[in-house]
Amino acid sequence: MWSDPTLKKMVRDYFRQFERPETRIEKYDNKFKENTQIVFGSFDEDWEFPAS
Amino acid sequence: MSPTGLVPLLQAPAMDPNIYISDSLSICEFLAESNPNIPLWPKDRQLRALARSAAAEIHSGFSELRTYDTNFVGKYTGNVPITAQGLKDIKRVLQLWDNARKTTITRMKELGEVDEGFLFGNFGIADAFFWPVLWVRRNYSRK
Repeated sequence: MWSDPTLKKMVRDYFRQFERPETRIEKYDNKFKENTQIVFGSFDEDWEFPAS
Repeated sequence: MSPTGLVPLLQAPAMDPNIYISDSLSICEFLAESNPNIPLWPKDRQLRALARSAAAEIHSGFSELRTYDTNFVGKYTGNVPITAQGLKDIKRVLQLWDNARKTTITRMKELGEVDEGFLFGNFGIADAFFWPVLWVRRNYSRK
């Protein structure tokens, strides 16, 4: 499903939105910031599902 | 304005501009009925029944899993805390997916249909309903 071209096209805007700081909603970003054992980062747009 | 105060909401002016269809599952049902040429539900009656059951289960259940906010791009690395009920929900989702695929593989072979590898063959409403669950698993690095 992650590799489906239609879905990839649909999620493109999420990455464009992520590039705009004014669209950030604190509730959805780094919700474990008080726990130093959990690191918040982001996925790259060309991320591929690691099939095992 | 949504009469329930919730989204999504669908207005179908071609049918009646005063009718608002609320709730994702009823919107999907309306769209499937309105577009019978698009296989939003499986063509096969048996798989269709299972797909409807799966969509209904995620629509009304998995309350603990729903408490994990999703952020499509966000990635948490580390030991993200998860409750016992959350683990139970995850196990049930995996069981449901496993059963769906096993049944679909068998059924599609019987029917001589091409299985595209989604839950019930082709991409459909059931897959759309479970898509956010994949986001949660990716967000929180849950295998």
